[in-house]
Amino acid sequence: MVKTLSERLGAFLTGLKEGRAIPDKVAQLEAVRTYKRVRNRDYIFKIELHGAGDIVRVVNTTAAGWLFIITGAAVEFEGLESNRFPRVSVKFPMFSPDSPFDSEPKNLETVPAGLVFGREGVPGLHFEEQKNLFYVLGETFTIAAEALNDTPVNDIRGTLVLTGLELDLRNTGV
Amino acid sequence: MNYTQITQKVNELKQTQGFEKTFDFTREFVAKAGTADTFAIPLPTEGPYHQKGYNIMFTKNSSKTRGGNTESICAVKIRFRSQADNAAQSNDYIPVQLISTPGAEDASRYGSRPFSHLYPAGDVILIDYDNRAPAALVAGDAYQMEDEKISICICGDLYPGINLQ
Repeated sequence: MVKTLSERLGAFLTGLKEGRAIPDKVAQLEAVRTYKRVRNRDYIFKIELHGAGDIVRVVNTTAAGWLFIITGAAVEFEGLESNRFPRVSVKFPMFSPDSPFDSEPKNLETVPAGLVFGREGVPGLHFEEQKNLFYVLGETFTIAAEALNDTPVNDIRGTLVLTGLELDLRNTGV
Repeated sequence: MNYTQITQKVNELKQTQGFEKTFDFTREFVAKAGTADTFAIPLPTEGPYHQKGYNIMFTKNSSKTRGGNTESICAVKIRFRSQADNAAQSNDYIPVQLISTPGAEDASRYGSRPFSHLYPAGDVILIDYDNRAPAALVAGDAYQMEDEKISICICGDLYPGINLQ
């Protein structure tokens, strides 16, 4: 027997009766304010390498009062001679003396970008999730890129986007 | 259930459950060739809006020629701002080709990119865009810039009646 629209809608609504209750006004405000104190943010870095052994450093300053946590990175290269992934290393010589989580300087190893971000023969955009790579609290930090010795003679331009979360630590005593 | 019972049930649910509602919307603009400008998206005045993510599609009408080879590109760069606090969520212009998933018009989609930001009620999302030719990397590179249509779908939750002040 074919159910009427009312019957079908009624059955659907009956299934919703155990839904989540409205929190009280204080809880509502607190829940929404939490979102106000956490936001996503991207930082972009552009590098150009001209020949083997070339090293460039890009400097960036994060927002004052906001703790920046890297959650991922994307990189794109152009100027490739072929579909080879460029022999470019990217270094995060990170230090975070003001970080509440890590008071010691933190230096990471130089890693070939091709190993971190890409697959051989697939140039272009690659995204890689990073696990709490480092923390920055309104600091200046530097990223260095180096063309390895067997880098093709082509000039290479790289665009590196760091994606992350920022936590509002203003007026928290941190 | 008859019609009256359904109406009563809906009112009951409305009064007792949830305080947020999903609000997704799509806006399109044309990034004129060789220009940089701002596109504004007014948000609802019902309450704060929590943006959770976005998807971008774009045309690839522009082209780059190197060594006789021409490829279609979209060189548009964008950044988001909140009119209320004027704070850039991105500290620089990010190429749409890097933050779309994967972006090309009519390409298959695999979900929006998570991106969280809370806007107060009635705020305006400002999207600064730049569709000027990039600086040539290699001597002889030539860019032919054309108008590009950018479609952005923003998804998130709306919190009616919540006053953040």
